[in-house]
Amino acid sequence: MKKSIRKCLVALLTCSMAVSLFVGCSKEKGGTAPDTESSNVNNTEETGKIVEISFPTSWVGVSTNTEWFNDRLAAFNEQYKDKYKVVVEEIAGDQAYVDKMKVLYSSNSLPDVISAGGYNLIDPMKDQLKDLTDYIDADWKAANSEVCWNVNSRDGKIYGIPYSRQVIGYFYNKDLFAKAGITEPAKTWDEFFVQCDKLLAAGITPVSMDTADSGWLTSLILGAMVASTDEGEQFMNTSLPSNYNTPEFINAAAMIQKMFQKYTTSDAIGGKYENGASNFFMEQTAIIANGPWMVSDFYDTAMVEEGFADKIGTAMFPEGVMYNSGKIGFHIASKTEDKLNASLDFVRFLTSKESQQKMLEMTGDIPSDVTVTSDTIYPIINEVIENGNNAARNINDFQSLWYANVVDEISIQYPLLAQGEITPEKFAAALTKAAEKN
Amino acid sequence: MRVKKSMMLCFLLPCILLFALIYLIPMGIVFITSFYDWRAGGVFHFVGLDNYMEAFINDTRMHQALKNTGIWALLQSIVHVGIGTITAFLLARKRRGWKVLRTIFMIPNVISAAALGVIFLNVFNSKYGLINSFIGGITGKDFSKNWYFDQNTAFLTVTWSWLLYAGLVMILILAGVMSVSDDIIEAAKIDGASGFKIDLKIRLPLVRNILGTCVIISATSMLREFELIYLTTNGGPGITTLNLPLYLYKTSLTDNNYGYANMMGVLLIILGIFVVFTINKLFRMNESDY
Repeated sequence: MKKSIRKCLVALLTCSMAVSLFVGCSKEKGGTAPDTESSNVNNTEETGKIVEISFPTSWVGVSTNTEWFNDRLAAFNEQYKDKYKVVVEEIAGDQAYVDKMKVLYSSNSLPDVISAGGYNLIDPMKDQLKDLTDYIDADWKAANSEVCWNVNSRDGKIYGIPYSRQVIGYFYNKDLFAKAGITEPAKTWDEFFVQCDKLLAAGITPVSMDTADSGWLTSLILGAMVASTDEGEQFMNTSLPSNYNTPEFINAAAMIQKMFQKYTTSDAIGGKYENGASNFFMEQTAIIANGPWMVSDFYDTAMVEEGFADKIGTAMFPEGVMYNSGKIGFHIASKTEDKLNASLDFVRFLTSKESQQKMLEMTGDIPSDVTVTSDTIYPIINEVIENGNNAARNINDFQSLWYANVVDEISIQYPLLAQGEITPEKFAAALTKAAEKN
Repeated sequence: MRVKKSMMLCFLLPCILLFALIYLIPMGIVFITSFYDWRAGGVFHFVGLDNYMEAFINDTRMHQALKNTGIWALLQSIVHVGIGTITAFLLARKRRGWKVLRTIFMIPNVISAAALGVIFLNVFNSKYGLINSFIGGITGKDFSKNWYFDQNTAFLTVTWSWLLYAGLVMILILAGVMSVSDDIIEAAKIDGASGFKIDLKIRLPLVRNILGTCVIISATSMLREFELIYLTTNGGPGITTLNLPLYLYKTSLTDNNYGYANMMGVLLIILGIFVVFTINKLFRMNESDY
C-alpha cells in the first residue's frame, strides 16, 4: 500500500514538474504575436468584448511626460472602458526602451503601439510597422504641420503619427552673462567664442556639455555648428547620412574639441545630461543647449533656487540656427484588424488637440498641431517657439536622423576628441566607419 | 539500493527538457546563424565563414575586445583568486574579529552591479570624486583626473571595479581550509611545522580542487562581465575598455547585425569551454594527493 502511494506521489510530482515547464512557454493558438503581454491580451479578446492593446512606454518615473501620460491614459480608459483596454509596460529610459523594441523586433513581436521618444525606429523596423497612409484622413493630416509628417514618412508612406515638434536652441543665465559684460547672445560662432572667453575671465565656466549616452548637450551644439553653412544645413536635414568626412563636420568637431578643452566643466567628459543640467541649475555654467521641456525644471524649487527662471534667457544658436523639426511619433505594429483599430483610436486620442494642449501645458513639449496654443504656459516656452519661428536655418534632431550606432559611437569618441587623443578628422572618420556598418 | 532506469529517466526528463529548450536549441540556432549575414530589415543569407574571417582578420574592435577579455580573465584568475585565497588563509587563523572581517569582505559581493557602477562612477568622478579629493587633500593642491575617461587610466579603473572584491573566492576557500582535519594539522605541528609551512604544504594542497573551482568561476565571470563596463565607460574612451560581451551587445542591439553577434556568441562559448578544460587540467581537478 505504502509503496503504491509512494509511486503515485512520484508520478504526480514528475508530471507536475514536466507540466510546469510548459506553463511559461505556452502560446495562444493561431496567434501571431508571441510576446507574453499580447498572449494575455488575446485570451481576453477571445472570451470578452474588450480589445486590449499593449503599449510599452518610457513615460514613467522622473520622465517629464509621466504626469501627462497618466492623465491621458486614465481619460482614454474611462472614455473607451467598454471597448478597449491599454496594457502598459513601464520601461525607464529612452535607450532601454529602444533596446527592448529591438529585441522584440528580432522575434517579430513588437507591441501594438510604440513611442520611442524621438528615436528613429522607422528605418530599422519599417517592415514590421504598419503603413498608416490609408488610415490618416485629410482632417488628421491637415491638423499637423508638414515637417512632422515628413519625419514620420519614408518613400511616401506614413509610419509614425506625430504629436510634437522639436524646437531647440540654447538657454543662458542672464545674471552670469551680465557679470561677464555680455549684453546679448552671440550672432556668429566667432562671437560665441569671444563670449566664452569673457565668461572664463569672469570666473564662470561657459557651457554645460556631456559625452555619455548620445552626448545630447554636446551633440546639439555640434549639429548647430555643422548647420552654420548651406552645405551643413543640408547635411543636418539628411536622413541617415553615411559620410561625416565633410569640411563643415570636421570644422564643427574641431570647435567642439576646443570647447571640451577650454569652455566646459571637468565632469563633462564621461558626464551625462543630468550632470550638465545640474551644473546649469547650480549656476556653475552659463549656457546649456536643450529644448523647452526643460523649462518646467527652471521653476522647480526642488532643483533650483527660487527665482532661477527669471534669470534665464533663450537664444538661437549662432548663425540663426534652430532645431525646428517634426519629432518621430507613435508607431503601430498591431497584427489583427481589431487591435489595429484600437491602436489607431488610442493614438488618435493621444494626439488629439486636447491631448496636445495638455502636453504643452504640462510638459512644455511643442505640439505638432500648429493651431494648438495655451495661455497658461511658461513665457520662456513662448520665447523658444518664437526663436523657432524666426530662425534663419532650421535643422533636424540628430537622434531622429542618424543611424543608432553612429549616435552610440559619438558618445565613445567624444572623450578621445576632448582629450586630444584623436583629431577632428579621425573623429569624423570613426563616425563614417560606424555609419558604413549599416 | 537499485533504482529503475525508467524511474531515473522520469526524474531526469524535466531537466533534460529544460536544458534543451533553454540552452541547447538556442545554442544550436546561435551556431547556425553565425554563418549567416543576418541583419534588421529582413537581410538573411548564408555567408559561410565570412563573419569569422572578418572578426579575426579585419575587425580591430574584435581584436581589442578579445585582448581585453583575455587580460581581464587572466588578472581575475591570478590576482583576484590570489587576494581571496590569502584573505581566507589569514581569516582561517581565527584571530580576534575574524568573523567581522569576513562579513566586511563580503559586502561588495552582495551589492548589485548597477549600484556598484553608480558608486564607482561617483567615487572616480573628476569633479567631486572621493579619489581626487583624497589625493588633493594629501598633496594640498587641486587634483583633477578623469579616471574612467582618460585613455591612460580607463582600463585600470574599470579593472578596479571587480579585481579586489574576492568575497566569493574567500568564502569558498575558507570553507575548504576550515574543513581540513585537525588530526593532519596536529601531526604537522608535532613534526615541527610552522603556521606558514602548514598553510603552504598541508592546507593549500588540500584545497586544490576548491582553488581550481574558484579560478574557473573567476575566469569565466570575465567572459560574462557586462554591467559594470556598460554602466561606467560603455567600452570607451574609444574602444579602450571594450570586451566581448559588450561588443556582442552593441553589434546586436545597436548595429542590428545579429549574424555577426551570434558569431561572437559562438566564440564566447568556445572560449568558456577552453577555459574550463584548461583549468581542470592545470589543477588536476577530481584527483587527490592524499
